[in-house]
Amino acid sequence: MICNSITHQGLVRASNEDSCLVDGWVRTATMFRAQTVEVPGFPLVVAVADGLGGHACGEVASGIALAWLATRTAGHETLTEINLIQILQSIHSDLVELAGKSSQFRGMGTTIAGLVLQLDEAIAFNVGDSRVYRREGDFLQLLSIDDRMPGNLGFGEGAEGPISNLLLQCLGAQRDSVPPTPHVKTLPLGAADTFLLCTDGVSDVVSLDDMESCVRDPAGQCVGALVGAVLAAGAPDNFSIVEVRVSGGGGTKTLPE
Amino acid sequence: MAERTRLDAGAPTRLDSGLGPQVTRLDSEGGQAYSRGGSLPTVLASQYQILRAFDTAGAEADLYLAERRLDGRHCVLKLYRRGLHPKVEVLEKLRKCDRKFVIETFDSGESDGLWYEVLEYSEQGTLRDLSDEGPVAPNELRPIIQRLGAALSYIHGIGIVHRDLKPENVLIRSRSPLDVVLSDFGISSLSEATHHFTTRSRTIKYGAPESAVGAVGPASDYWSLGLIALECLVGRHPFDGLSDLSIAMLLATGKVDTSGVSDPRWRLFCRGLLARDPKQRWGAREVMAWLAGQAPPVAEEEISRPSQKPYKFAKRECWTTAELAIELGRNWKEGERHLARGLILPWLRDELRDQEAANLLIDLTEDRSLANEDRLLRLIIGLGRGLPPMWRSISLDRETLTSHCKGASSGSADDAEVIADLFTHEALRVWGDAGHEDCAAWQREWVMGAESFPVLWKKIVDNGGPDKKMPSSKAYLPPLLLMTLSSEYREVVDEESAGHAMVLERCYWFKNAELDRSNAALLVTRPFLDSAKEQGETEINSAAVVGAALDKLRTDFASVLEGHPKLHAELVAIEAQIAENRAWDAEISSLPALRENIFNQARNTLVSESLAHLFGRSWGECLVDGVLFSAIFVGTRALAGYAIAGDALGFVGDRLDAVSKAAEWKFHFSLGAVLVIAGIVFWITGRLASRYVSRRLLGQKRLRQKS
Repeated sequence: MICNSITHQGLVRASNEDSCLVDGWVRTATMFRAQTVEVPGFPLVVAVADGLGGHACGEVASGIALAWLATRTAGHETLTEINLIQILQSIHSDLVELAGKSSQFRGMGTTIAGLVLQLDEAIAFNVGDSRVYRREGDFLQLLSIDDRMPGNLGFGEGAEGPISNLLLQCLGAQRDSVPPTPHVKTLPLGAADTFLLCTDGVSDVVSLDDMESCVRDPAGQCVGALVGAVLAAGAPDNFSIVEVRVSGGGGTKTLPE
Repeated sequence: MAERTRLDAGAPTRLDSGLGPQVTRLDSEGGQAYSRGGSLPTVLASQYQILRAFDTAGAEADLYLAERRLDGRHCVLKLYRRGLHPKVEVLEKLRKCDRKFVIETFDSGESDGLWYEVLEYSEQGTLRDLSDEGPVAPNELRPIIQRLGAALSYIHGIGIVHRDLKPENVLIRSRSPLDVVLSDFGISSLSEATHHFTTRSRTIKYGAPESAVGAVGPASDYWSLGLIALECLVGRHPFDGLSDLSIAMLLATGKVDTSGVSDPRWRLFCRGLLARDPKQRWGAREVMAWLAGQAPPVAEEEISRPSQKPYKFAKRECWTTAELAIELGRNWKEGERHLARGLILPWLRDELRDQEAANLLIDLTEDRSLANEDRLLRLIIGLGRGLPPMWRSISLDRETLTSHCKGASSGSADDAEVIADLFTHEALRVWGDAGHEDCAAWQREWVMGAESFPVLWKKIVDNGGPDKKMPSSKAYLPPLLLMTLSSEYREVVDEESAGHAMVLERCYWFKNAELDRSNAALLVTRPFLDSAKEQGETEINSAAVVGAALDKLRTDFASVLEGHPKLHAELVAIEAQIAENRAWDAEISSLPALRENIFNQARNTLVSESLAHLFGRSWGECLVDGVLFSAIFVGTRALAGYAIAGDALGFVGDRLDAVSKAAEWKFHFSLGAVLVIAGIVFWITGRLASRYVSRRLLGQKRLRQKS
């Protein structure tokens, strides 16, 4: 598996509250180039997080949530949906507890969207409005469910993305004690599947059509093309992207010789 | 097929391009057109004068406006192309029809090998001319419908289904009072069976849904009547601007939208006739009842919008899975996008709550070996049951596929791409799995050919054929499919090599490759044909040279033999030996006989060898022996005189005496006796010889001494 990842403060914000996690490594500081990592074996945990709460709070929240995710998933040989939900909820309660300890951290929270790749399955999970996509040919299929107030209630054309950007739930940041309900989805893992994780700094700025044309990048530099698209659009928010390619080969049908 | 051709305004009949079952094509190129300005068939020439020709390019017959010499009446001459002829029984029936309902046929028959009909002519044109003038007012349409309904029930009553009813085929005799009749029964047939199965030949815009599968009955004509009414009332055809494929898909699943008809009674009329189920469609009875002011029941509800939310797709709203399937098929690329992005599932699962459809879609998404287009095809099949086979934007029927194959074979890269894509994604197999036997059979034969093509190619090269570069699959897939689809094309390819079977048989690498007559084998043969023919001819030629040389040798040999009878006899003996050996071969099969034979042969050899040893000595050898013996005796006599010879014989006598006492004394005695006699004979001979010799030699000596 090949992972390309980047987290970036954008062109407007003064600091980077996003973080990304690839195979146990958490990056919180702005990266000026996408980093390519080849991960030899399963299981692989990748995630992006978009910190909330402003200034120091956000940075700490997204970074610490991903660090906890890395350590808490590391103990498992294989992860189940239940494990993941428990881990995400424990991260939530720990964040709430941490926020309670210091006024500096008050209101600290983060979105999270990630992917666990195991032997023959993938588990996509998210809380908040960071996204997980799976590549389907020339297109992207959204696997995560945005915790935003739904805008368009129709189906089909024009029902692709909620309009409102009011966040319904995230990890931490909640005063009440009701823990968030993570969205978790198990999928069969194809030999040539490609996944794309991003924070709203990408999906709110670049249209799905443009994201798909980045995915189709002839040079295969999907993340590079996406970064270019975000920066070209002004990069008003922090953004993080993780692309995971399962390179088992095969997959596409070809004509006989 | 050429487009339907509209005739000049005022033409009485219009021809459809479709080749109907009524017409039997004899040659594949279509009949040779009657040369315009040339002479008419004799029977017609004497009676009619041609005024002008109607433009009928591509049709099955040529049409002429003609004047009858007898009374100057204008009429239409319909001359079938050479090689085409109508069904005589239909012609006969039509001639006898009531002219109140059906166009009048003055004459029909065959002359100089051309079939013709002489039809009535009207300057008023057809219903098409009327409907082209804009929407027809209900009170104007009513008498037309009344007359057409009566005409349909009349022709159905005498066993004829029109099959191609459309405004172009409704002839207007006069506008006031209105008089319309049915015309152009070009593709009608006798409806002996309840439903007549046929392939094409109808105008798809007016064809009933059941005619897509070839089941045409009287009810089909009523569907066409419904569409004519709808078109006249609204002022445009509901399928205007749609491709044949889209129409076929709409007919297969959807309902015709009658909401454009403002008058509720006329809307009821259209809905009654446009019921998709031919059994529930209005027929003669209901039409009569409606005309009489009643409201016969309509089986199908008006298209109603369910309370759920529609699926928005390609600027349309789909309310049912069947509608969505049609739209997905019509906007393939867009459908791929929706499917890949996962937009369809929430609608099926959460809005329609169609568990079966949702599960199908989930299964398709989870099958990671499928590409988007594969999933879309399967989804379309699953959601829209009964749709005609299609892939991307092409319809998977014989005609369409054939034209793409032909395009690809004649160098069109786009067509080659279409065919290669079709092969890669196995769309025909998927439709076959969904119950389309045609598609399944085509796919099977095609795949079989595609698999064996490279194998056969290699076989030819391995057996010593020219080492040509094998064409890419893009090049050989289209002709392979074409051979599957079109037996005519297959025959063409077959004949290419069949015509040279004798020559090819002599080409060793072609013969050794042992090609059968499968599609792939015939196709593989093609590029090698020239070199195989060349090789075969070379071998035939060299075989002729060798044969001639052998013949010469044979005659030379015969003449040599004639001069040498002995050699000839030996040759005969050798041949006899060869024959014997052959007989031997036969005997080898039975072992006891073989053993016996070997034994006999061995015994015979032994005996003959012994005899040969005993008696086979030649006179020359005997002479040498005699001389030798004589020499010994002469020598002995000369050396020791008679005494020694006598002693020697005496010794032999002693030995004989001793031997005679031995067990086999008889043998030895007889041997001794023989030796004694021989001794006596030799002694006497010796004496005689010595005396003779001494007398001659001594005498001469004495003579010399005396002299």
